[in-house]
Amino acid sequence: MKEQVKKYLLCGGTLLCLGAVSAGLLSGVNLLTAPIIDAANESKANAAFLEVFPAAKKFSKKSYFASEDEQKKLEDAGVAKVYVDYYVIAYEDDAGSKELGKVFHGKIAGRDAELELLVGFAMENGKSSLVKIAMIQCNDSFKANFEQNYLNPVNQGNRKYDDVAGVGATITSTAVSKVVAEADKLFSALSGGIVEDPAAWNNALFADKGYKLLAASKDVAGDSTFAKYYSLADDDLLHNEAARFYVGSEGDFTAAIAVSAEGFEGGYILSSSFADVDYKTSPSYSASSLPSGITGTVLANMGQKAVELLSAGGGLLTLGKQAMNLYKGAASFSKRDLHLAISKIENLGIDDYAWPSENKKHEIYASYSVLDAEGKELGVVYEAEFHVVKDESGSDETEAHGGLYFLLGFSGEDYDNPTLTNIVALENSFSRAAQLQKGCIDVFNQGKDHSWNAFKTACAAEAQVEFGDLGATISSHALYAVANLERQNYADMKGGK
Amino acid sequence: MAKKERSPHLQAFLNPIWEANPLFVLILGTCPALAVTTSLESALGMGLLFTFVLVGSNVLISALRKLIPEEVETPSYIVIIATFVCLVEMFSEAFLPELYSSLGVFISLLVVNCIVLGRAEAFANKNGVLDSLLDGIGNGIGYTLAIAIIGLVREILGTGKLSFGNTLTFLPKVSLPILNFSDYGGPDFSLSIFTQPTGAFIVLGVIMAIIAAVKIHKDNKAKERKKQALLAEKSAKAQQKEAK
Repeated sequence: MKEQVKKYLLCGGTLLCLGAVSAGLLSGVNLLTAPIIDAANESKANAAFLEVFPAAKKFSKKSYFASEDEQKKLEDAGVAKVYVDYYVIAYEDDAGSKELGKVFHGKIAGRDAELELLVGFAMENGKSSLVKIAMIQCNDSFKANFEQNYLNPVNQGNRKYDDVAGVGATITSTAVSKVVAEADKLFSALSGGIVEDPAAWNNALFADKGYKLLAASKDVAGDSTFAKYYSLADDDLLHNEAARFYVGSEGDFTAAIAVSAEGFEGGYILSSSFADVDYKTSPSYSASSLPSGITGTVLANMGQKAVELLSAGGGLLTLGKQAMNLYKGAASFSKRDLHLAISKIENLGIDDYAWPSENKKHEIYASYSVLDAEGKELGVVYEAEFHVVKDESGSDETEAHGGLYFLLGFSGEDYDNPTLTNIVALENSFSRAAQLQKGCIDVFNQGKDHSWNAFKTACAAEAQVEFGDLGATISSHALYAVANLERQNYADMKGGK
Repeated sequence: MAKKERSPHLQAFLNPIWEANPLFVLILGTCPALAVTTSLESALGMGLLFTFVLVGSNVLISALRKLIPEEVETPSYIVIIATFVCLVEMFSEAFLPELYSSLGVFISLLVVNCIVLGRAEAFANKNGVLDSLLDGIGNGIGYTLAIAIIGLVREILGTGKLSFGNTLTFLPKVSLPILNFSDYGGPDFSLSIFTQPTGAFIVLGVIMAIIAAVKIHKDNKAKERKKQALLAEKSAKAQQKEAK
């Protein structure tokens, strides 16, 4: 027994000694080699960062969330961590006192490859500016696709993604765009820049209303507070404006202010100059819901200004408003019920083109009664669309593609020959849109005679041209046919035949 | 004429280089041999690291053989070998980073390399420090030679060039075109299959076949000589008898 214990102790002791000596030796060697390895890895990584900021003398790596405050700042700025795992601050000097910008490291996993890229941003005139995108790890097979789709200058606000240092992977440019957009938001949030994310504002303030955001913002001229606005619509075709986000600044305070027909809806604070302010606002904003201080007052002031600005500009551009614009002296409008018991489709006498058919559709969406200041009806405006799809055989010789979405107003009591307003083409996605516009819409709009007969003549003339240009569009046929349905609807509504 | 008897030390050194080459004869360590021999330079680098690990572990194990109990021999040897491998890894990462990147995981796999563990148990365990040192150097040279030959053949046939200075950065950077003259607008006769694992197997197989053929030929010759010697002895004896 004693011998056995002695044996176990000996074995254990031997292994322990060996392990201890080995550990000691390896730690000693590690002390010697670790600084050399770290320096080599740093210079390798810095070589990649230098591609983005060649003038930088020092780089300082930061994890995604440096501190709780910074984390809160980023979360409140609406930045969701998706691809960026760390960022590096590039300094102009060795001491690290003057910042050149930030480089964000992003990773995307593609179908059969992983892409690592660096995205550099710097502050320019108080706004974040994309410096460069550098690929670290990728496969050659992406290069052609990336260069063709992504290297073409893409305007997002004032930014152009047109400078790439490396080649791409088997990952779409959409994924790269996401990393860049993510890095952009991060940089703006970290640098106290302006984070414009109207989609996020819409989600935050109008989620229950289902408003849709129009892609491009519009500039506001001549206002000291607001520089631009984003429109939100409540219809699928994005023509009936329901709300706006006015983006502006009062001193150091920048916000996106939401206004609708009901007035001030809420605000979304953008600038991070006020560290102690609760950045989230709620739709039911009131001055007391924010901490006391200048920020509450400023937000309220901006809200009031936005409401006044909207009112001064004629209010939201709803379809009804656009219908009113067709009549001089219009003061108000009201939406009317549609009398849709009409079936007589009249063509322009060219039997080869039937309307409607399987691949030619139309719809009359609404009618608006436009009234003057005394409440007298000036006319009835119809919102309608005709839509032509491509021939099933794939041939595009005889079919017009896309459609026309338009407003057209009727007035008068001669229902066979009513007076028409100008035709307002709200959306014109024909393959021969220009021809239609010139051939009958502009001709009719610019003519002195705005009768139904004049309209019919303009459409017929264009139809002759189309027909003469064998195998071309039937757009004027469609326009006439749908307008004729509207005329019959108008007559029916008014009690005529 | 009788072959001059070699000293045991010389025998320990020379045997693994040709007679008992660990790769071509004993067929040990084939995994790294196929993986890192895409170029001569990588093969030489691997051989260098392998030799250091083998020599170091052989010497230390031989020195400690009387102190390590039999029951914990294998784990002790693995600790010692792993220590040397870690040393080699750290040094190569610090001072030969290109070689380190090129060899990758195969440096760590030296811990379980059958040649290293095999020599530790079969030789260093039973012999003195000097013999173990010579055995380690001999096996190291033998293995390095073997993988260098494979690397040379694969690089020339696979890329058509012989390059230096890419992984062993202390060497001057040189690229010699041998079968591939495309850099100068000429033809390229290289076959990329030799840079793939398939090519590695083909080259190893062919070399082993050549070595086996040479050995068989040598054995046959030795047998023939022995036969002749026996016949001559028989004839001399018969003559002697007749003379009596």
